[in-house]
Parts: sequence; C-alpha cells; structure tokens
Amino acid sequence: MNNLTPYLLVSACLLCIGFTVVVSKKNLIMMLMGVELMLNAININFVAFSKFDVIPERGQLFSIFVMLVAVAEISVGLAIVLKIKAYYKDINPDKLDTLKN
Amino acid sequence: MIETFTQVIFGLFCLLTIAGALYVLASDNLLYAAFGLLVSLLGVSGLFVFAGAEFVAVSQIMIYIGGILVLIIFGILLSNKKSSSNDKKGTLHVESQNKIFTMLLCVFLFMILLFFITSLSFNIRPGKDMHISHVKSLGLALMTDYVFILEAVAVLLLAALIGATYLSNSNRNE
Repeated sequence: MNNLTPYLLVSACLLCIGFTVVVSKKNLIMMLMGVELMLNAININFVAFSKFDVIPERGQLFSIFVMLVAVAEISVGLAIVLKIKAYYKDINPDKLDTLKN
Repeated sequence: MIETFTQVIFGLFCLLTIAGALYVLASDNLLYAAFGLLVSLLGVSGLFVFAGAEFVAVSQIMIYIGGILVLIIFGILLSNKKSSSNDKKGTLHVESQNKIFTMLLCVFLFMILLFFITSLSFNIRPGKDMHISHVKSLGLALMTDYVFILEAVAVLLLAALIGATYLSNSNRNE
C-alpha cells in the first residue's frame, strides 16, 4: 500500500476501541488488554510513518522498544492482579476501595 | 491484477484487526476476549508486513502472541478459582458499565481523530515505498545509534523480571 491514510484510520479505530475497553470493563485483566490494544495502535502509527521515512529504522526500532516496555508492564501488572485477587477475592476495580485493613 | 489482490489482502488484515478489537469490546467472557485479542494482534502483524517492517511483524507475533497473550491467559486461568459467592454467571463473566455512554464516547473520539486524519496531507515520495528487507540495517542501527536505549530496556526488563518474581512469590513468610 502506497498511502498513509488506511494505516492511520485503522490505528485511530484501534485506539478508540482500546480506550473504550479500558474505561468500560469492570475487570483488571480486561483493562490490561485494552492497554495492549492502545499500544498496538501506536505501533501501527510508528511503523506506517517509518515506511515513508528516509531512515526507516527509526520508527521500527521505536515500535520494538514499545513492545518490550509492554512486556514489562504486562508481567508486573499480571503479578499485581494475582496478588489483588488473592487478597480481595475479586478483581473488580470498583470494589478495591480499602487501603490497609 | 496483483495490485487489486494486494489491496484485498490489506483490507482483510484491517478487517481482522478491527473485528478482533470489537470482539474484545463486545465480549462478556474474559477468555473469549483474550482470543479476540489474539485475532487483533495477528491482524496488526499483517499490517506491519504491508508497511515493510518484516522484523517488527515477526517480533509482534513472537512477543505479543507468544508471550503477552499466553501470560494473559495464564493470568485468567490462575485467577479463576471459585472463591466469591455472589457471581452467578461464572467467574469469567465480565460486566461493563455505561455501555451506551462509553460507545458514544468512543465514536466521538474516533470522529475527532477522523477529522484530523482527513484534514492532514503528507508529502509522500512515491518512489520510496518498496524497501527491500533491511534487517541488517536494523541490527546495525540497534547496535550503534540506539545502543543506549537497548541497555536501558535491558535494565527495565531485568527490573520487571525481578519485580514479577517477587510479587508472585506466594509462600514467603511475612
């Protein structure tokens, strides 16, 4: 494809859907999935712009670094979610309203 | 002929991406939503191939589908013990609040982005679009210009590894 607009449209759509998932779902794992969708939308933008760049490595390496940060985020996030589940017996973010005891 | 075929395949990957994401949004089941995420990530990797980034596409499949999605499914299945008493529809059921309002918000946000995207005009050189595979130049750039970011990401991954191991260690005596 020799045009930038389809990539940007798909990316915008994915970003909006990910935002809606994060805002509306009442489950911490589901919210993490929404964050992954938004990060993917940003990655599409980086790669699509790097296609028409003079140095195409810039955008591609940035998207790979975004992926690695997403890996770090999801591993620590899921560990925290499992600890929350063990403590509160629930991962609905509306019910996590106790600070200590 | 080959141009039309390419555009059809590209549209198929776009459709796969959007449909998977919409299934994540619409699904009430946590595990099915994870499978919808899988479809969406596969579509995104196909879009990467069309944008001339084969290495990023392979990394997407290996990291996201092979790593993150397996981790998410493990998290779902590990946190799925029958413990709470007040759920009648099973523990995989996800409730969403203000569905209509958030849908409207989503469409509104998309309209704003659509307005900006259609009003932009980029100065695209027509001859530059077909790069040959440049994994070698990618590796050279990674090891010369971006080596500091590489080291920073390595430290971040080590910190995440230690942190996740410490957090999920369940039988330590406090």
